[in-house]
Amino acid sequence: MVFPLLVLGLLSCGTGFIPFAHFVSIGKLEAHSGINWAVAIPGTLVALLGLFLSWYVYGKIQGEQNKNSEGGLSDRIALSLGSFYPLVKNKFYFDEIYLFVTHKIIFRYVAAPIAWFDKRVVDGTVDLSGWIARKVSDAFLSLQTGQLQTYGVWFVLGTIFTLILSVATYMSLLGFGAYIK
Amino acid sequence: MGLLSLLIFLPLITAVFVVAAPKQNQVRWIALIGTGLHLALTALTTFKYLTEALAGTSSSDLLTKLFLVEKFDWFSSLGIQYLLGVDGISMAMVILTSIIIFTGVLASWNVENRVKEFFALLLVLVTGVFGVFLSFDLFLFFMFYEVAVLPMYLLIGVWGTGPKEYSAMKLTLMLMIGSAFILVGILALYYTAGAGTGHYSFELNQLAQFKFPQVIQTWVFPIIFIGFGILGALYPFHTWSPDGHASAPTAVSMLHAGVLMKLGGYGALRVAVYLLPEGAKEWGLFFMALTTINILYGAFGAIKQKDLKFFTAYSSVSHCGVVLFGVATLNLMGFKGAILQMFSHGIMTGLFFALIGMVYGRTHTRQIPEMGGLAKVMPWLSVCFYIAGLASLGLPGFSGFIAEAHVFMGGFFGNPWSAALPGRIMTILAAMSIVVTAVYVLRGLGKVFLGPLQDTHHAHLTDATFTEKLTTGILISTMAVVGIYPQWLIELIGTSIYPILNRLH
Repeated sequence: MVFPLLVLGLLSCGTGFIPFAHFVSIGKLEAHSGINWAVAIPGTLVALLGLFLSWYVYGKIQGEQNKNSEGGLSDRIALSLGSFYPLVKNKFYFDEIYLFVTHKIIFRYVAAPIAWFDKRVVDGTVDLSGWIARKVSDAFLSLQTGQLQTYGVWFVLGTIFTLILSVATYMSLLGFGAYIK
Repeated sequence: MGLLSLLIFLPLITAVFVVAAPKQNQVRWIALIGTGLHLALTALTTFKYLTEALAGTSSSDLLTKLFLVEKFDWFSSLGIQYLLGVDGISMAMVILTSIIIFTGVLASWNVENRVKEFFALLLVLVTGVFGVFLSFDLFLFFMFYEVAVLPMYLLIGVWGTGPKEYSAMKLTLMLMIGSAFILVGILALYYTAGAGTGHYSFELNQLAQFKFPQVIQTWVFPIIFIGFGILGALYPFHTWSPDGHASAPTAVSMLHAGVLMKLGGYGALRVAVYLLPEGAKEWGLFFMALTTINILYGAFGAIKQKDLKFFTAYSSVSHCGVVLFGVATLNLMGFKGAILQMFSHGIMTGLFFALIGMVYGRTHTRQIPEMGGLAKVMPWLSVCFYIAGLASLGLPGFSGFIAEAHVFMGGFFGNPWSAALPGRIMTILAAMSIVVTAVYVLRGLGKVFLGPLQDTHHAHLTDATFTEKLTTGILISTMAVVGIYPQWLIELIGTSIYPILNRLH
């Protein structure tokens, strides 16, 4: 692992000298105009400070701790920060928040209701229309039982109905509608 | 017999040979040779099309230019013709179908029950599909459409699994309702144009030359769009799809999700938007909203599925939503994306269903919780599954990425006839489905293939056979070719989109 790090580290030292502006540009204008010291100096200083502090707190004290058991500087800092320390240590619980949102909210309150809605409501409507069609055909089934008496009853009823209808149509055609009203 | 007629009827001729085969075990080989020949014929047609079309089309065409045309009167008194032709969109769909049926036959190598009937019906079905893509007379188009839909009933009802009779009946009835919508729409156009010009014709380009009155545009467009939308799994008419796919045998699921559902998007673009541009403008946003629901609803629905086939079926509802979303954007980018997505999803979902069939053939279960750690015993199939999954969530390098990128960019650009903001909001919502897709794909596949072996009985299962490696290999390489170099496909469909687009302006 050291060797790849070494290669990458050495290469990164030289990267800044590559004139990227010649290769990456907005139209014909060069998008880059040299180093910006106002950004570069504080940035580098902050990085160096961070490196030093982490060495001071963990690296240096770690050695002492091995000799003097516990109670080193890092533990004292952690204690003095109170409940803020575990918050930072657990990355502000972002992983837990993501898991909570996906499992407890999205899966439970979005995905599951959609799956239910699809099965029961959308699909249920389709099944219902099939059920209605079957029930309607069941009702008409009694017209075709093969029993002569049933046919007779329907025949007579149908004839009476047709008679009434044709008489009514005839009368309305002759203008009797006005008298009936 | 012309080249296109041969392209349509070669599967039917193969079916005749299948039926006439003296021995059962010859059937598979006859089907494989027939579909292999078809693949070669498709390559030849593509070549002939490209040599003729590159010079013959331009981006200012107002009517779809057809090539390799075969035309003669069929029922001349009704203005019905036998009119075949090909343009870039048809060509792309024919290539897709040809690949899917070839791999579908390979994936059905293990069918034991009524082999003859199975392959014969499969080939009849695909005859209908080719017919739809190549006919430019709406009557012929509709006839082939029915030929494509009906064999599905028997294929699912006889060779299916689970509640197969229920699923077959539901699928057929719902698709018939869709057909009824389409027929009513087509007849309305036929009579209106006929009464207007005094010349009754079902020919697509004849109808396109007639300017339909606004009231027809407004009312016939949604009828035809919904009619095709039912086959394209448009929300809320998609419920035939999960049940149907779950019960269907492997090759039927492949063909159905891979190709048949594409007839929906194809018809919506070719018939509804092409003939009724004013109606499309009026209803564009409405259907965009409906397909946005499609995309998100399908993706969220897939998260909760326990059965691998239901899982893929819901994912198909989401992805086919992307096709119709692209059609509803009414701009060049969206149309291109819709066709690319049809092609891409066809291959990808074919791969998915083929793999599910292969895994099911070994584990005899499709329940996700009953599986786990299968990558240890079947590394080839697991890797293929992961590739299909990654393609499904739109990983760059596979065809799904380029298709969805086109569709969502098209949606964001919007069109001059509808407000930009609602379209953009819907595009953002629809594009979020990619994240949801990543969630269900990675979770689902992780449960099935990673971790410790769930069932000790699975320990001595075998990995893919040669035929299975061939099937998955063909499909994966197609996805990769389209993903890495989509330009050939975009050029193939390129100029054929312009007539549809130009008629909107």
